[in-house]
Parts: sequence; C-alpha cells; structure tokens
Amino acid sequence: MPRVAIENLKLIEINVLINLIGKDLEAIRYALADSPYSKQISGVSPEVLDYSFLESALMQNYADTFQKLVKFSSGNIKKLLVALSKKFEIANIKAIIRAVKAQIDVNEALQNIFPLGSFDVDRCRAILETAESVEDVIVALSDFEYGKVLKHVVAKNEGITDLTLLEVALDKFVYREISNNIEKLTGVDEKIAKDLLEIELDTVNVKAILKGKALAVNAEVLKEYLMPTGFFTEAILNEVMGIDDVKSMMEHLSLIVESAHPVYKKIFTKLLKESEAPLSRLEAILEKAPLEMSLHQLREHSRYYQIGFLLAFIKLKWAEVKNLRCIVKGSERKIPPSQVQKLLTMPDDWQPSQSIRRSS
Amino acid sequence: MADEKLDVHPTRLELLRLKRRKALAEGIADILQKDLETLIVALIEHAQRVHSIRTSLKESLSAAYSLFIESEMLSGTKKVSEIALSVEPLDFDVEVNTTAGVLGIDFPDFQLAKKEADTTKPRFNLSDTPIQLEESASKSAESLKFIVRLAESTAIIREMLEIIALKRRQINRIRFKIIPQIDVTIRYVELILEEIERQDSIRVRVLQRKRKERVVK
Repeated sequence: MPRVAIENLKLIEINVLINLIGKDLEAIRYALADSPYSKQISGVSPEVLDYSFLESALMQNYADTFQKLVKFSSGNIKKLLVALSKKFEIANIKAIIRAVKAQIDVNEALQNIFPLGSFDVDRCRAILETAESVEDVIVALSDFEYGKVLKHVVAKNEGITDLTLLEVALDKFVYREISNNIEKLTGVDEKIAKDLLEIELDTVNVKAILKGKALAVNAEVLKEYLMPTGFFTEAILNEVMGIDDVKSMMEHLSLIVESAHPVYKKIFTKLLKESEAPLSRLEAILEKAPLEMSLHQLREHSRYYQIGFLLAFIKLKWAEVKNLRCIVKGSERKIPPSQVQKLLTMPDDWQPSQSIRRSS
Repeated sequence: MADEKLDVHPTRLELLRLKRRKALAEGIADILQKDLETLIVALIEHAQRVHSIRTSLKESLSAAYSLFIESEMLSGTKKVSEIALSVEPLDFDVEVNTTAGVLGIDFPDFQLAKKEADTTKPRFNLSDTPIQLEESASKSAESLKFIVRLAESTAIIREMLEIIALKRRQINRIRFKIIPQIDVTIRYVELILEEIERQDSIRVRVLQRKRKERVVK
C-alpha cells in the first residue's frame, strides 16, 4: 500500500471529539464539515438534519475509507481486508433475515443496509423483494458461501427455530475466514494481525459468557454462541463457564493472562478490580481491549510500515464512528454529557474528566 | 322546596309508626355514613398505593428507556430497531377475577399470566447485542407487573368511587328527602291530633256546661 495513501487517512483528535458532546446536531454537522467526514457530511442538508442522516453519513464515510484501503492494497493484505469487510456483509445478511422475519417494508429494511461489501443495496433489494420467509432468503443466498453456512445450521437444527443461531453461524464463518487470511501473512504482519484478531475473539467470547451467566443460559447452549477461540482456548472457556461468580471468573482469567500479551494483563487486571461493577461496565472495558491492542501495536512497531497500521486504523476508525454515532444520538435525545462520555470507547491513557470539564 | 307529606291517616298509631320509621331511617343513615367513611379510608389507602405503584412503574420504565437509549447509542438506532422487530415477542395475558374487598364488596383482581421464559437460550444474540438492550427488555418486562397492578388498583378505585357515590346518594335521600318527609308528616299528624284533642275538649266543656244548666233547671 502506498505510504502516501496511508498518510492521507486521518482520525479526529480525541479532544475535538469530546468537545462535540452536548452540542446540538447543527453544531456537530458544522464541526464534522471540517473533518475527514466533510465529503459525506456535505450531502446532509441542514433543513433535513436529524440523527439518521448523520448516522448514514458516518457509516458512508467508514465504508468509503475501508474501500479506499482495499483499493490501495494488494496480495494477502487485500485478501485480509476483503475478509474483514465480510463482517459488514454478514451484518447486511442479518438485516435482511431480520427484516423478512419482521415483515418490514423493503424500503425501510434497505435503510439498515451498510454500504460496504458485495451485498449492496441493489442485491439486498432483489433478495428482499422476492423472499417471503427466512427459508427463501437462504435459498436466494445458495450461490454464496453464506447460503451454505445457513443451510448447514437449518439442517443441524431441523428447521429455523431461532434467528440467533443463524447469526452466530455467520459470525463464526467470518471470523474463520479472517483467521485463514491471517495465516497467509508472514513474519511480523502475521503476528500483529493474529494478536489483534485473538484479543477481539477473546473479548467477544468473554462478553458472551458474562452475558450468558447473567441471563442463566444453559452452559451447553452458551457454547453454541462462542466464536472461534483466540488466546483463551476452548478448555479455558469451558472452565470459566463452570465458575459461578464474576470475581472468581476474573481471578481465574487474570492468572491465565500472566503469560499473555501485556494488553491482556492490563485489561483483566482492570476487570478484576471492577468485577463488582454492572455488566455494562465490564462490557465497556472489554470493548476497549482491541482498541488498546491496536494502539499498543502502533507504538511497538512504529519504525516501519506493516499490517498493524492498517488494522489499527480500521479499528480506531470504527471506534471513532461508533463514538460519533453515540455523541449524535446523545445530542438528539438530550442525554447529559457525563452519561454520553461514559459510553464512549476511549483509550485508557486519555483523561476524560479534564476534557469534559473544558467542553462543558 | 317544601317537603311533601306522606299520604297517611292522621292517627296516633300512624304517628307511632312514623316516629319508628324516622328512627329507623336515622339508623340506616348512620350505618351508611359509617360505610362511607370506611370506603373513603380504603379509597385513600388505594390512592396512596396507586401513587407508590406509579412511582415504581415510572422508575422501572425510565430505567428501561435509558438503557434502551444507551443500547441505541452503542449499536445505532437502525440495528436496535431491526433486532427489536425480529426478536420473539413476550407472551403474556391478564387474568381478570374478583376478590372480596372492604365491606365484602367484590373488587377486580388482575393477575399477569406470563409464559415462563425459556432460560435455555438467550433472546438476543450474545455476541452482537449490547447488554443494555437485554437489560432494557427485562426492565420493560418487569414494568408489566406494575402496569397490571396499577390497572387493578385503578379499577378498584373506580369501583369504590361508584359505590361511594351510591352510598352518598342513599344518605342524602334519607337525610334530605325521607327524614324531612317523615318530619313533615309527623308534624301534620300531630297538628291534626292536637286539633282533634282541642275539639274534643271544647265538646266536653260544652257538654259539661249543658249538663250543669240542666241540673240548675
């Protein structure tokens, strides 16, 4: 990938982002018009300015940035990026399945389509217009790899009993695809990409276990919802599922991560410290883990260009888009700035309280 | 408006009957007044209960709403609405019965008949949905309990208000219609009886005078 292409990719300064909290939608639109989001934001008319237009503009910007990265990449890196974009393809397939299940109007359902990947609005419209049931959607997808995955789930469960099982199967499939593409990389690139994927998988699995435990989900059923494993092997996850309270669970995992990457140690020490906190807080800490790993990789390998730059940028960009969406929604619903700030995914070394005081 | 007297014979027996009817009417009015007071006390208690249920409902719905907003902030409005529309809805019904309440009056009894949740599988995708959405859904389900209790108390209050209005009408009818009518009739009968008594005494005096005159002759 050309160095100049990477250098053109920019993120918003965290303090600028924080200053947007509590501002009205017009002020946010105005601020974003002078940022990497200017092209997409310029398409939002001030007369029709609302949350959904801003959300669409933010998502469009992420999709455009991602496509630019894919365009400038080559070889195995390009293949990895394409595999990563499949996350958004399956998000669109999930949206189609849910829309068909809920019998939502086609045009309304198309608003939920993420503009990235091969499942664009036209392809999704074609499926939505012809499919009358989830089975029809699966038939329409039979020419794609996703159709085979979904058919396998239907055959295994003797019908469609639960949409979440179809969704989980798609998630697992994409993570396996990403993992396969990472294996094609070599040297430091492979190690960095593997570290980033592993921490993502581990956080997803730990989050699922915490939620499953809180909802008293049967352990055997809970296993179905786990993604392919990362640093935490299947045996470790099974052990964790057998532990009743969150504190003991975190103590156990903290001991295991002693030998893991330093970011794991940092995250699980924090989780152990806050093990009495509500589940949403633990989820927020886990959500930060891939971001922390991305920043760590950037600092660790800053002397030369490698896959870490790209993957960290994608991760940070997604976190930024999600944070902006959170700020816009908070502004629309007049949520107090302190509450909005709590929901943002920010790196730990940034001091939020100081900036929020400045902005308010 | 002057009270109309009852159509009775102005006799001593009727006067006694009227006085007995008046005492009975006053007794009934007193009993009804006590019932009314009991009902008002029960009504106040129910109104206080409604206030506390409404506060709990407001807290529960506010918590559900803010958790829902948080989930929208984390996952986006489109995704949350898409998930909400496709998830299996909660299966519940309200059973309506009656139960003996204050003064033995039948009051409505609402019971939330909720189908036992299937704990073997989660309602939402564990790896793709923020916990806030799950918490919001369970808070909303919890609110149903308060909504049913609030509906029950509101129905009881409505029933009590109807009974209170009925009792008040009965008391008013006795105090301001029946008793004044009896009073007027009693006064009328008494007047007639007094008049008869006066005529009798004049007649007696006339007879006595005539007898004396006959003796003198």
